Amino acid sequence: MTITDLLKSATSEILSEDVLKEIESAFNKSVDNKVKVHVEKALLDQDSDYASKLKHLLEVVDKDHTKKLVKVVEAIDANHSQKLQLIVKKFNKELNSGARGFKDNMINNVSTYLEAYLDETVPAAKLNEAVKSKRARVVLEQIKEILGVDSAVAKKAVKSAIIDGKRQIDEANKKLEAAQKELQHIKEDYSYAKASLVLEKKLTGVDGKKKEYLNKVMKGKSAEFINENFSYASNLFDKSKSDRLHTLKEEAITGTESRKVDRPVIEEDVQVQSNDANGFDAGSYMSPYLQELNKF
Amino acid sequence: MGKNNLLEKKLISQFLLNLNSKNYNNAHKFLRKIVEQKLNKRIEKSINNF
Repeated sequence: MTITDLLKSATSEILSEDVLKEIESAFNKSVDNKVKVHVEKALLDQDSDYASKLKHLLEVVDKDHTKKLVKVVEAIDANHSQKLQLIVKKFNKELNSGARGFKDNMINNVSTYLEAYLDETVPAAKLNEAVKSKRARVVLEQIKEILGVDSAVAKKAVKSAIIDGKRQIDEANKKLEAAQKELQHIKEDYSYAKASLVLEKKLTGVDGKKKEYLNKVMKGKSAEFINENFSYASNLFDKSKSDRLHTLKEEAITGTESRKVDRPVIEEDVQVQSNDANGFDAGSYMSPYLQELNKF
Repeated sequence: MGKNNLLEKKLISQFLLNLNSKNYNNAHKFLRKIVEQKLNKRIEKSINNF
């Protein structure tokens, strides 16, 4: 039932419809205003109530969260501290034992590698050979010291000087030998010339065949030989000549043909001459003396 | 021999440290010393066997 119906019944329809409508609208306005005020008031009350409740709730929640966060932080701190302590322990352990083991292992590996490298580059056989060579050198030095060979002698400069000196000595020896040969030739030439001169002097004044005989006998002999044996050869020639004359006389007396008797003697002379012409032969110039000696 | 090994280990350790810190000149010196040490050891052994 509306307010218009109520007024109609209360006033027994005294009021007109328009009035009733105005009254109704005014009533509705008034009611609306009051409702609005009440609603606003209720809203404000609700807001304040909710605000206070929310504030309280927030404070409680904050406190709770704070407590919980504190607990969480403490738990995390404790956990991290524990873990850090474990890390420190582990680090110390690794530093003291693990790092040392790693270092030793690394050193051993490097050492092994270097040993292998040296095995490859410097073989034991070569090393042994070098040791033997060095040992031999040392022994040689000791032997040098024992034998008194000065180290300066072994030096290259002195060695070259010694070699040069030896070369000079060899050259000097060669020159001396050549000079001695030349001197020997000169002496031979001189003795030959002297002998020729002596023979020429001795043959001056000697007649033809005798001169030819003596010249051939004494040719090539030394001056001393000519001086010693010239007179003997001359006498020998004279004696053989007188013997030939005596033989011719006897043959002439006995009537025997003796024209060919001289030939062997001449042939003997020719043989002597040919032998003498070849040079100094002991057998050739000794044979006339032996023949003459056989006659006595 | 033990003394030599200890010295050799020290030399290798120094060599590695210098190598790690990029001091190549010092590392080279220590490497030289290590090789000399090893060669001396070998020569000594060869002389003893001679």
